[in-house]
Amino acid sequence: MQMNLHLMTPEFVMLGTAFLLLILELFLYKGSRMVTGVIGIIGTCIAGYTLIGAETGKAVGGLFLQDTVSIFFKWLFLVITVLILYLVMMYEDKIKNWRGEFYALILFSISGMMFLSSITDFIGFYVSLEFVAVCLYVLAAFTNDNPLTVEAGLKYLVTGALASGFLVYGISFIYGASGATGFVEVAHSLKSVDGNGFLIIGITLLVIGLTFKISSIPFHVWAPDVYQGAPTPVTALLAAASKSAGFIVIMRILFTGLIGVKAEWIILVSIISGASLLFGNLAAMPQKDIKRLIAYAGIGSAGYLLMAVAAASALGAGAIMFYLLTYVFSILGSFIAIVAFNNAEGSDLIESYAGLSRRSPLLAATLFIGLLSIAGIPPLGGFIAKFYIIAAAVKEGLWALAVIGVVMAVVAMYYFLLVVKSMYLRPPKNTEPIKVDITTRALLYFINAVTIFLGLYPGPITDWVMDIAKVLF
Amino acid sequence: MEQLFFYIFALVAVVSAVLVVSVRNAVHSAFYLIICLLQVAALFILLRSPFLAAVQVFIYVGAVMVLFLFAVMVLDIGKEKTKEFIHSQWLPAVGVIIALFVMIGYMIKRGKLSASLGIYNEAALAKNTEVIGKTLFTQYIFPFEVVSLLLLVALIGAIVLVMKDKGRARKNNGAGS
Repeated sequence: MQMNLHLMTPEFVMLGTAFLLLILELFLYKGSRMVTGVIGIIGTCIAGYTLIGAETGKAVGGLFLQDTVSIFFKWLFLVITVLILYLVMMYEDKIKNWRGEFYALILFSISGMMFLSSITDFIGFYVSLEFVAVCLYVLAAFTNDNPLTVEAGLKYLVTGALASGFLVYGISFIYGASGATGFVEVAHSLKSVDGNGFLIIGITLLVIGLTFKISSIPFHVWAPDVYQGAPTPVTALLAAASKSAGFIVIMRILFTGLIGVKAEWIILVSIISGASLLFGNLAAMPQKDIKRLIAYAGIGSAGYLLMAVAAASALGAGAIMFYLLTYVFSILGSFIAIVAFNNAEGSDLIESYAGLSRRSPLLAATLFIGLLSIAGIPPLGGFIAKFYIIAAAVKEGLWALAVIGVVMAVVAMYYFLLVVKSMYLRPPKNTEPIKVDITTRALLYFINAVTIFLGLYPGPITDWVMDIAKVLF
Repeated sequence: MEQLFFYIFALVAVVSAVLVVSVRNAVHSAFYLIICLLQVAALFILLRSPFLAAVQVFIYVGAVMVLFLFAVMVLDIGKEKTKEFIHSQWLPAVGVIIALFVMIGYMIKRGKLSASLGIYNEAALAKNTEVIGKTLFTQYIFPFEVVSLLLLVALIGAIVLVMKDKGRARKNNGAGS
């Protein structure tokens, strides 16, 4: 058996950093919280360094696959980690019963997601998914002196456990129908199976179980409460990283393992996609809390991404990757602005954002760019991403979905423009300017520049992503 | 003969599973769950998987049920009013269950639910435990190691969530005395 452990170096570095932080926490006194965060960021950068020019291939007997898609997602996860660790450093004064394990658990969950981007087997997939989930359950309930957070943690745990049951039950049916657990082996053995009842039950349960991670219908109920109640950096982690991890496993399972029986799951994925688009965007309209608004908009985004999954083509897979790239930058920029605002004002209500443009033009501009990019307004990155997704759906003849997608993009503009209206047109109650420190400023300028760049000059990136996506088929 | 035993075990399993959710006393419910899990272990033996049967008895009947009973005793859950737990959802729930039952029954009748034995033939099944041990530590070493990480994180998480701050705990004690 080929171990090829050197392919897993980035994961080992992340896990090593997490262990280091766990131990360091014992020796550092309370005043030096910042240090653990900085060490976490340095560790993540080292992991990124080991990922430069990483080889492709299989490790640990073929259960770990490093290909260009997994390298893309690992880069995405590392960028998310750096931004989220920074977010935690901004936020940590808010957490009364602070513990250093917060950083370690974030790093553990990210290394689990990096495993997820490389899995080739249902067993490895399920185990890695649970590893990530356990970290996130703990993180969501971390500030357990706040009743909202306790509620968030409990809801996340209970829905997560239910979804996990669906998932493992579905996997067992697929195993029953195909007699294999590896995705490639499943695809191979399904060539000789047709119309097996076990397979249909298995695929249905599997797809439904997978919707939990990406917060789409039918496992979307947790999203608004958890996004609102969990500590904001954890919300950002769920919105950016957990969703990306969900989509890489969906692509691996459906595109690599079950592509031969795509007629069985395309209808199901299309229904879920349409329902999520309608529900997420319509329910987002009356929201008063910005984190709840982002949660509902996130259900809508999952609908768009599932539309590209339903297209089941290399164009769709590339569109998913480009969408996630723009989504991660837009949403993390927005969350940094939300945390900076919350630190000054102590409120997440949309109405308290009134007149933000006069109090801090940079924060207002970041939210403006971030939210409108998610809504899909040209010339921002999110527009190009939505454009590719709808193009992929139209190319495969999914007209109804494409129409819903276009209409819902207009609805999304409405509720995001409400936030913008509050920030730019309403007079502020309190005219005192909000101070933003120099590193946060630099970071926000950088994120905004990336979002605008992805919209104005997407050519090289989309070509690259579309090229990578061919590996999946 | 084997079929007769299958029906006996299956019947007892289903009846005890129904009793788990319908009896009022939490301790009785836990005992019915033990009976249900033991029947499932017996079914595993009928399926020639002694290892799974042993694991089922060790982990579920042994460890998990002891934890359940501990929790029941510590939390002092007495006889609960059933009304509190039967919400207005019972009607759609019954509908869904019946629909599922009919659907699966239809599929079985049409012969749509069938699967081949795959690579695990009689010869492999005879050495069940040995085969599992070998594959677990060679082919599936990666998931095995990730499970150990999972357990570590679960341990850390449990401690983090329930541990009180030293300072705060002392203050609370001081206020109490």
